[in-house]
Amino acid sequence: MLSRRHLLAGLGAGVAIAAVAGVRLRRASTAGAGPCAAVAGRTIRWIVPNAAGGGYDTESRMLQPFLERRLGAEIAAANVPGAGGIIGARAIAEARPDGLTLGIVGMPGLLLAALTGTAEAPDPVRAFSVLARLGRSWHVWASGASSRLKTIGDLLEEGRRRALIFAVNEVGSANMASITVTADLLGVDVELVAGFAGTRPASMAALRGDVDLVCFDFETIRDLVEGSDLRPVLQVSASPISRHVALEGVPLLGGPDGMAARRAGLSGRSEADTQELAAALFAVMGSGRLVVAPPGLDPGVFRCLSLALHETLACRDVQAAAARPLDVAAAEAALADVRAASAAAPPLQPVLIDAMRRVRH
Amino acid sequence: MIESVVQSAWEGLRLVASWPNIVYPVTGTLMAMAVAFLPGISDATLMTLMIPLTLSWDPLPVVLLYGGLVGGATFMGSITAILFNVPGTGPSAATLIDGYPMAQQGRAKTAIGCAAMASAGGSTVGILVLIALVPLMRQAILAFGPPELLVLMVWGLTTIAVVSRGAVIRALIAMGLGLLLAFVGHDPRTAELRFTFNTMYLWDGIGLVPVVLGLFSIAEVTDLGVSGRHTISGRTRLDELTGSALEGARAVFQHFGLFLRSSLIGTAVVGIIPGVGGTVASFLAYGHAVQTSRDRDSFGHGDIRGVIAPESAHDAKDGGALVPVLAFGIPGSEGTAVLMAALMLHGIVPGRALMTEQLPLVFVIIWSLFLSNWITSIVGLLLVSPLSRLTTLRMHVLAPVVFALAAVGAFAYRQRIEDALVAFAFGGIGYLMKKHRWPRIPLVVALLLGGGIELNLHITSQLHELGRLNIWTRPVFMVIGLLTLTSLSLPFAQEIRAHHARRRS
Repeated sequence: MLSRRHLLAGLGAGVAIAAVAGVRLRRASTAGAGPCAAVAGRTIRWIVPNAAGGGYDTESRMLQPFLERRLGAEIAAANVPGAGGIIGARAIAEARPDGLTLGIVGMPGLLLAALTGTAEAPDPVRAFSVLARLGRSWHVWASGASSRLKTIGDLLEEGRRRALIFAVNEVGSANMASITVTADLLGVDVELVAGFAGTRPASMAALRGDVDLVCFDFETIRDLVEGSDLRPVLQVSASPISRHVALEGVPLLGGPDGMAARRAGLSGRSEADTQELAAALFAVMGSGRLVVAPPGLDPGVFRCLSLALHETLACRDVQAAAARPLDVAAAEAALADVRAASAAAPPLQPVLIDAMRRVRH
Repeated sequence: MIESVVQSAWEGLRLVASWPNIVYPVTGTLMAMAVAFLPGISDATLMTLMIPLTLSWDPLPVVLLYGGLVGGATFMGSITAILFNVPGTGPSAATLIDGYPMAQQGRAKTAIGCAAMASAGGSTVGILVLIALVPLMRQAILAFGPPELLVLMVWGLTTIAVVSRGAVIRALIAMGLGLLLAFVGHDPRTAELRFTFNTMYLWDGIGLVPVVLGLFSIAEVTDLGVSGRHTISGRTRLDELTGSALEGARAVFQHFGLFLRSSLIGTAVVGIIPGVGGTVASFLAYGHAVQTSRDRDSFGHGDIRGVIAPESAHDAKDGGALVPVLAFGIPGSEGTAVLMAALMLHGIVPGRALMTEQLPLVFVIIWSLFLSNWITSIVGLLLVSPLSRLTTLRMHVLAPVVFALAAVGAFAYRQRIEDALVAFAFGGIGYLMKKHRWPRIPLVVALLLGGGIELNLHITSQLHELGRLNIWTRPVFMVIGLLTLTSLSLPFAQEIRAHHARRRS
């Protein structure tokens, strides 16, 4: 015989189960039938290959509620940091291709890891199903507010007398590649002081005058530029990075009138070789941060996920919520950029290897 | 400028105290306190989980909530340190040196009461220093570069000499082992791999959390089990425990000078420097307490001053730790990194503009943190009796729970099963160290500081080689360097003085 307590407990459990089922059914019905049925009402593991609070993490958390609504699925972001993002990237690449594991990867880092012979890094072209591009990081060279190096002219003049001193985060990182290849194109020597724990500590070193320059994604140091703490002196790109007033008159590295073309003679390289090296750098940097899934995704699931992502990223609310501007591309375009970057990258290899050898010895 | 700071401080206080705004920091605090007891959910994890939920909120409630979340977790780590010898957070490791012996003596209530009072008082000093520093924030941060960080970390390492009186050689060996472990993984300067034995797990080095969980929680429970002791306190009933929370709280005022000095070490010396963290603050304060005391022999055996110093420094640090975040957007910890991300997603960008145009909002964070620290301590005091009861739990109940929590906590740290294995391996090492009277704290301090010392030493020496560094023109470096030398030589000087005194008598 059932007691009243058992009856109430049973009733409570029934209500709870019905509520959970209801939520799931509502989510499933939001997404509708078709290819998205494979993920609707399920939990998608979203791998962030960095620690909590970083740029990728912030972007993932921002995207989460919008994408959940569009897919009718729950998204559980998981930070899998380590080995400069390689552990997280491998966790995505080696997961089951069922549409329930997605994540963000920084393609420039993976392309550079492949170039410098990091065997553990996943193959940037073959190891993922590319679903969308979130954005790209275009670097600027910037000096501290009190530095004498106020323009590219000052910098090249000083570069004739001595090596320019840069603060960098990590040897083998994208910003180190950007510095060494750009310096090579400009025909100046650089000294890298490596090991700063992020953009800010390195920027503080420039602000204090411990180093001459830093080289970072413009968006990550924009507030320091706006606060007159840092002064941009060179845009490491072939076209203007942004319409920001601080970049007006700041020369470009690439393009027909860019600094690389103007300095081609000084670096001892032919104009064609100069253009090829500059193009390789821009292709790798422009490959961007991508949303990816494991390879071998069912075509229907791939279509569903890539479309949902593209629609979500195109949404005005998402663009407004992003802490840094998005530069979105659909799956096909993003993958084409990765392939092009991979094909263009080899000329960077000797420059990078030489720079790493010099830092290590 | 001062008038604008005072006005902004008042406006910030008004915003925090008004209804329904006050609900947010209180809720944030209680949430942070609740998860502080759950293994694997750190304050940073909780704050990260809140980002999507608060995305559609206005900036003010977000700032209020996050102020509460930042402050809520700090004190709770000390409770587990006192009760179980398990430092819930890195900085609590200094509290356990005297806090846990107090629990073993049945004085857990006094230790928790003292920690709560020191924590709340310390945070108050921290907030006052932070307010005073607002006009000077930028200059204060810019004064600390790699050379200053280097000497500060070396100063932190010198506290090992202080906490290991009577076993200096063993402490030095344990410290060496800690430094060796700190060098596993990427070389911070060249990115080359060291001692990784072709395992990707070791690329990022050996994590502090699994090591601490193993060395203390697993080792402690193993030792209790082997020793045949039935409970942590040796008592099985609550009324058998001695001391009271009031007695503990009163002790802070009895040692007010020590409390104040430790709070200032936490805020002004350590807090404002990004990346140094509360652990250095706690150990520096503990070392200071030992060095400036005449009767030092009771330290390590349940001396209440060994609880006051680290607790006040640790909580005072929170106010200072906001300085680099707000002035330059430099997060000093994972928690402050998430705080910064949450602020930026709501259009609040740390930096010069925030410190001038949105100063009231800065004070909203500061006052929320202040409120949160006090709520945590008051709730801690209210919970003294039920918490102390945990020291009367029998081993057959306690051991499986602690083992399970340690395993889950280690795994959740980086979602790596290897971390759980490392925790149990260090559990074995910790048990052997305890059994054979080898100090464990030097190993933890060295593991924590080794990477930072190596990195800043590299950068400092490279800047010197490049002619970009003249230490004689860096007053902060000189002052901390002198303090380090004093800290190192003081024990020898005291030993010599004692030797002469013995000869005279």
